[in-house]
Amino acid sequence: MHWINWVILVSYIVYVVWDGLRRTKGTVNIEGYFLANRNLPWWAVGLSVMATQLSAVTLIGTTGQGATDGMRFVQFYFGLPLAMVILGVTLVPFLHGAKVYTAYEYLERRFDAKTRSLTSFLFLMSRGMSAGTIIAAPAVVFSAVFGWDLTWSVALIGVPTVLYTVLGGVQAVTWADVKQMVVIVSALAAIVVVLLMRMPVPLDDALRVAGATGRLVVFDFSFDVTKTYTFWSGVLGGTFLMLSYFGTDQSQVQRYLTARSVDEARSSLLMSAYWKIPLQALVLLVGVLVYLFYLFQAPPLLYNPAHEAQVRSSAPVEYAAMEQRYVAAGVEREAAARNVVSAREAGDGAAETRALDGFRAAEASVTAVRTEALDRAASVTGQSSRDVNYIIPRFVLDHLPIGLAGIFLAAVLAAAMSSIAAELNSLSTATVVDFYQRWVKPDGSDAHLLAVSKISTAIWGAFACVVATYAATLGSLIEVVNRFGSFFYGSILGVFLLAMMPRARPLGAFVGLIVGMLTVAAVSFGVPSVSFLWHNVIGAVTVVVVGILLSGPKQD
Amino acid sequence: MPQPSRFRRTLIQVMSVQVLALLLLWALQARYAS
Repeated sequence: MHWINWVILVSYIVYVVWDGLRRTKGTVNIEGYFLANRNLPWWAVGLSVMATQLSAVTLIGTTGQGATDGMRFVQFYFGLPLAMVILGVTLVPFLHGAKVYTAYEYLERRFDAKTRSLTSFLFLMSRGMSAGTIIAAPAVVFSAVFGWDLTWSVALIGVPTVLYTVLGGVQAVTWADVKQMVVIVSALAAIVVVLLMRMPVPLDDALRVAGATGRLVVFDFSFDVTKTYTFWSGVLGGTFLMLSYFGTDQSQVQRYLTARSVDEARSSLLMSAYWKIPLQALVLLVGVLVYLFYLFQAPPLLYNPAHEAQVRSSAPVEYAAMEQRYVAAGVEREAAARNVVSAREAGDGAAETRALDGFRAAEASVTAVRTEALDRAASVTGQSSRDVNYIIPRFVLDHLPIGLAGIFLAAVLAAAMSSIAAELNSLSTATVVDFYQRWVKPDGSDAHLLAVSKISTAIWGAFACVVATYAATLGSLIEVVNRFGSFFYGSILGVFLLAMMPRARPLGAFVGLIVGMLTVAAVSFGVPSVSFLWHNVIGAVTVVVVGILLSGPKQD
Repeated sequence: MPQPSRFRRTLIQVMSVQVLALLLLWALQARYAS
């Protein structure tokens, strides 16, 4: 990579850490450290929530998904604005008004200590691991693209983040997020401009070609529970998932608890929904444009350079032959794409239809060779290739002008840092408030609790870095933890819904939570074809029904 | 006349943006994905 790109990247990291250190002033107690004395402006909180959700996986994986699968993934977010409105009028006033530090603290006031401890423990388990995976995803890509040792990539992302999160607390996290959103959106916009400038055919014609491959199908109205992304799974399952995530996950709840008032907390939540669908659509569209770019420019057979090198050295002659077939198929596909453009420009409908059929056939030939290469990579390396995650990094490093590549990499780092920082801060909050202060040292002084909070953040940061370093070997374990996490997301939402029902009692909430998780586990293992988005609906509904049944008749 | 709360104002703006985004996505699909 050119030295100017490195200068941009390193300057950005130094700036974020320096700014984080600057914001440590005035943080003298845990209310300042975890909730910024509940005094942050609503727009900054909203941008922070938005940045937290935009992880490096979004920039690397989702753009790659746009290139290979198209726009349909955007349906996943259709429930988000709806969920934000529901939360704005239900949970947010409850939680903000209760003056709690954690969402789970509210459950003790409403039910009992064991329900609080169980939900908080479940949060710590799932988020502790996921903080590691959030670092691991971009670190693995960085190490493959630059040929670095994974430990160094993890350190590049993890160390600055842990540093400013430990020292600056939520103030540093939030203000860093605001800047990080600016970097991320600017980088995406710049890539779009470059892609449009380098498109050799008119955009209208190029999009028609992309449409022929199904990549511009956004809405799928089929009511098929085995399909992950449909309009209905997005609107119904997605709403429950987002309700659960934004309403009960401490990493999100903590953001809006920092707002000055209930009205500002609700507004910040809505603000984070503002650009979610347009931004995700933009991210996916960048992927579609990259796909179109590679129609007219020879693409690599494998985008992951590390896997490419391994496959090539394991069977050089075979791989070279495969590459030759890939290049030939690519040339045919480009010719077919240009035929579509010519037919459109000639205004010949019949010729356009024939050209589109020809293009689809050529695309199938390209896909067949690539699938063969991906299978070969998986068998040689013994790892799932996840080649989709390398499409954008390769495009950025091979084709973006000097400077812009550095900004994009800074954006990837920014996205990773903002997500990890929020996780670390919330993990520390739940550890200190729900466990240390609740069970170990209820009468600890402000200074003592602040010191414990910083130590706790540092420990969670170190844990996340260790998990990230061993991500490749922990792959199956992380998958198990993530799957386990999906068992209780909807169920925890169910407990919070029960908390708002005057009839619900502590026994109903605790038993309902356990029955809800077991039900989702049974569905997950018994009917694995049911898309995970529906698990949230099943979990929440089960907890509410069981909770109400066990709470007995309505009491006056 | 009382001022509408920030929440209500933001709500209207957010929903307008979502509807506009969905309409644009619908137009994209209708024009190119048939």
